[in-house]
Amino acid sequence: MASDTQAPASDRKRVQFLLRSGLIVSMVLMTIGLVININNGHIESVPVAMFDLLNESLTLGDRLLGLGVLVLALTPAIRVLTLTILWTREKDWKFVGISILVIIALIISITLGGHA
Amino acid sequence: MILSVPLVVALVVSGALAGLLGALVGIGGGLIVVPVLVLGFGVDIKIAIASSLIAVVASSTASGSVYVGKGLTNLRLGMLLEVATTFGGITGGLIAVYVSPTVISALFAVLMIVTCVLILCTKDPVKKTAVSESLATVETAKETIGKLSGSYYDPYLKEEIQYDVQNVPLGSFVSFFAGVLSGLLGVGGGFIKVPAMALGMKVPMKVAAATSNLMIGVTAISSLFVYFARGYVQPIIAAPVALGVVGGALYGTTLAQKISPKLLRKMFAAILVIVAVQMVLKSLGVSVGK
Repeated sequence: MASDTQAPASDRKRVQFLLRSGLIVSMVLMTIGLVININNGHIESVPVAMFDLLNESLTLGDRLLGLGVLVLALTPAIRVLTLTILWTREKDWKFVGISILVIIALIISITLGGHA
Repeated sequence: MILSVPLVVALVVSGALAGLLGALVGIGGGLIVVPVLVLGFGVDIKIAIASSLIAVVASSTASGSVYVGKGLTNLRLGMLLEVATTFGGITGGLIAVYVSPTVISALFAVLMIVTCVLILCTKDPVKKTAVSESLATVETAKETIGKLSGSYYDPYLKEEIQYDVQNVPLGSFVSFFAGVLSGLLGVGGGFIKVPAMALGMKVPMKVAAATSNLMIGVTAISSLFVYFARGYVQPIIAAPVALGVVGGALYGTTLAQKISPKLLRKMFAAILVIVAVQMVLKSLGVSVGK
């Protein structure tokens, strides 16, 4: 491990781009979903579970709203994954290991939620 | 629950207010979103918490992208503390499912009072954490491969600030606790992490605030996935709040430089006390309006 090597500035630019993209996509999906629901007069609060997003019974508006939430929720997770890849390329093994632990924690979170 | 267009607009405005106030006093919007939804809109507290977690992720992603761009976020320190905070978030999310809404409301009220005291006792946190006005850039910030230390250019001091990170076990412990609170109450926990990093780990205040900001996104999703999978997410409530929070938070980062932080902190503390009292009354079964 090259302990005195500076991390490249491009890491930050990539993370910034990723966060902005995730935010914009999720906000656009939520806005469209909201507009469709209001336009159709369907503004009833319906629980949307993560694993039911492809369920036929959901309206298009609810599905887009749920998808927007999912994209937003996945953005920080993809940020962790991106840094893991970038640090692997930099051979920063200590922090690759740490980021893998975070990924494991997030997988446990999804798995525990799914087995409710 | 049937919503109307004015109610959806009210949710957007409430989210914007939460994002604005949160950005102005340097905390996430969770402390405001949950009571507003529970007391103002009569939403079940667990659905309110799930909505708040979504708002916290939105706020963290919006401001995180700004702070990462300005080179103030220590990505390696954030990742290290995220290990503890994500496991804490899962623990909190799991506990919350089995804890009664009454207990959660009471805990929330206590948390608001503690935050109120912290805000009043902290010296000008807004000025110190107003990183948006910083001239620091991606190019001026440095992180060393394999280490937690870093540096950034501080335009206020007109010099490059180099720092090392100390007391990692303490920071990890506090991050775990912040994660539990996040899962249990739907807050970001930044108000605990920032002092832990700044005072306990000797990280510069600006870096602590920016790093905490990025971290709360991961903290929130670790418990959000539990709520999302269990059907506590009601997007028609969460989406307008999230949209409002993003708008409010982005506007708040520019407005922060024009308002007296001292007056703002006092106003915010007063709001917290009023809402905390209402939450206590609600947990005791006393009617507080809707």
